[in-house]
Formats: sequence, C-alpha cells, structure tokens
Amino acid sequence: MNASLLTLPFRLIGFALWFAKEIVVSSLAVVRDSLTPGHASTPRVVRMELGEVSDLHVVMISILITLTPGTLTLGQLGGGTGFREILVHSMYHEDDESALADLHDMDQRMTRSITIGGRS
Amino acid sequence: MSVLTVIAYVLILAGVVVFAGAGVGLLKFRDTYMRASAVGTAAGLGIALVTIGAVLTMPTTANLVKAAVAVVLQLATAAVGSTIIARAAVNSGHAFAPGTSLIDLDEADAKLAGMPLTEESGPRPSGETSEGSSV
Repeated sequence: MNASLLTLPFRLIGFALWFAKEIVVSSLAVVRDSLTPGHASTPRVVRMELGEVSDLHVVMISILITLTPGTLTLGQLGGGTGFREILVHSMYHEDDESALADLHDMDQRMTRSITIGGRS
Repeated sequence: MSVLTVIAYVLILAGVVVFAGAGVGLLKFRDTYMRASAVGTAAGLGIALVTIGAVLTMPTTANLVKAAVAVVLQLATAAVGSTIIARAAVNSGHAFAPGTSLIDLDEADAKLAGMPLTEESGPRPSGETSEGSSV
C-alpha cells in the first residue's frame, strides 16, 4: 500500500464513500427495527483490541463506531497508555466474532486512509 | 425544479426518516445503550443530512463552507456526546436489556470504572461465560 501524501485525498474520499455506504446500510437496519413490530436486535458488548495506537486513533475509531447506527462505543479500558482496548455495544450482529470482524475491518480501512508515510 | 433541488429534497427527507426512526427507537428500544445508539445516529446523521440538503437549495460558496464546518463539528460532537452518555450509564450501573451478551464485560467492568489496566490482563480466560448476569 503506497501511503504517500499524494494519494491521501483519494484515500480519504474513498474511505468517506465506504463509510457513507455503511451508514446507509446500518441506518436501514435500525429504522426497520424501529418501525416494525417486535425486536430484531441481538444486543451484545464486545471488547475490541486496538493495539499500541495513539490517542487520536482511539478517538477517531470511537467516533466512527458511534456514528455507525447500531454500534456504540462504551468507553476505553484501562489508564489510557500502551495497549488500547475499547468496549463496543452492538445491536445487530449475530455473534461476537462477526461484530469484531466488522469493527476491525472499519479500523483497518480507517488506518489505511489516514496513514502518511510508512505503515503504522 | 432543477436536479440539485431534487437531490436537496431527497437528502432532507432522508434526514427526516432518520429522525423518525430514532424517535420511535427512543420509545421502543429496551435499554439505555440502544436508546443512546439511536439518539447518536439522529443527532449526527439526521442533522448532517438536513443541513446538506438545505445548503443545496442555495449553494453559494459561503453557504457550502458553513455547511461543511457545521457537518464536521456536528458529526464529531454528537458521537462524543453519545459515547460519554453510554460510559456514564455503564459507570452508574444501568442494566443491559435481558438477553444482551456480556461475555466481555464482566471482567472489564471494574476497569471501565476507572481502575488502571494491570499487567496480567493479556490472555483472558475464555472459559468463563456469564451470560445474562446483570451488571
């Protein structure tokens, strides 16, 4: 992955479009559950490991997770240094594995879109 | 009616649908966390969609800049606000809805309440499942 400054705007736009699609898809799930009888939700809390990342990274992924309808960041675990973990509440994932897979997919896409120079 | 105006109205309508869904969700969803999720969605996306739609009906440069600033600030602050509400709910012991899978939470609960992360928290025991316990 060529992470030069030159490609940054295109990577950001690409990520923004992907995120917009995600929002539309999950918005429909929430609105459908709201407006139809019964409860379709299968709520769960998962622990998402982010690894050794910066404060900005934790804040960015927390904001993106909360902005996605149906998922909600509950907070960061621990004292805020070194190995980072956040708790995420999800409404519409079938099991913990699929929830974590989706969350890590978003994390990787975000990281690829904002990285400048080298890999972090 | 120009194409731009049609797009503007579609965006505003989409924002209205998001607000309606979130409003009904507030009444219908079963615990604080799902309601916070619904409100966060409406506050972030709903307002962003309505703002963009409104600007597209009068797309001057000044308006576009104002809308861009408003949308970015709105998305960021709404999400942070929802997260803080959710965290406050966890810390003050609000129960999750029955059926919520909490496998990961019990051990983490004490840490979320402000205790520092200890060294032994690397590989966690996966055998302990306590689904359905209240928190």
